[in-house]
Amino acid sequence: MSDALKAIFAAEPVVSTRDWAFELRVMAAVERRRFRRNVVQMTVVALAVIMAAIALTPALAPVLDGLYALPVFGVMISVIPAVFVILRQARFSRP
Amino acid sequence: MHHAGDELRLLQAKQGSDQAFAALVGAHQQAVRAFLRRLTASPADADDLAQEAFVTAWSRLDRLAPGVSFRTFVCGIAYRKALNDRRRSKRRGERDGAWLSLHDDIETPSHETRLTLEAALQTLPIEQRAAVSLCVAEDYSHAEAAAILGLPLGTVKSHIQRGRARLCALLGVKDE
Repeated sequence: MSDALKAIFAAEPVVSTRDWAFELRVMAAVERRRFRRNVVQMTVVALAVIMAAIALTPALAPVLDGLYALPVFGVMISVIPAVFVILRQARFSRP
Repeated sequence: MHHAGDELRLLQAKQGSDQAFAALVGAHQQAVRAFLRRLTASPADADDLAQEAFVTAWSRLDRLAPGVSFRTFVCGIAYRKALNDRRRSKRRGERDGAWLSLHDDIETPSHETRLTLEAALQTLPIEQRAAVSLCVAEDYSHAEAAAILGLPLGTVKSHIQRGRARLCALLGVKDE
């Protein structure tokens, strides 16, 4: 069916098979989208943590008096997910 | 339209691998951009939409149904983006010649005034253009085209038949 039409389409050079500039452009856009998404997530989490800390401080005051390094420990622990994500990405990026 | 190695790349991309997603973009950019260039007024617009389609696909990889190829998935997104872009252009009232030439009341030119393929495609309604681009130019099956365009199979077949007939008339080619 419509071989002549298919031949016309086939003869029309439309897009090159490999276009590094376009691929780079797409990956840069993906990176921007990921950055935006991460910033939104981190902002939401940070706001939630701040609000929770404000709300819970009076209740936790007796505990914090005894364990005054607990907030610092909490901050250190919160870095672990980020390290995990970086390591996973590095594993995929290996040649 | 399954590509060799797509399954593995998709799995890795879903797990967060940028390298795997870049490989998928490299393997399918030609088909997606060619499809969009037949739908839009300019190659630059088509490339912008293709970029948006790939980024949207990246953010929705987890929604890719099993058995659906990545190319079909991205082409579906690209088609919806092209439709939205067209609606936006119409709303803005831009007097873009390409969009205005979508009307069906254009007279078929004589043999001496044959149109180029690109110009002839621009005279088709967007659904016909998309269906012809997929099934005649890109060799998709009718079922795959129906999935991409979100239309019933019978409607897609009808679009292809009418679109092909009109293209053949405009280009002075015998419809076999």
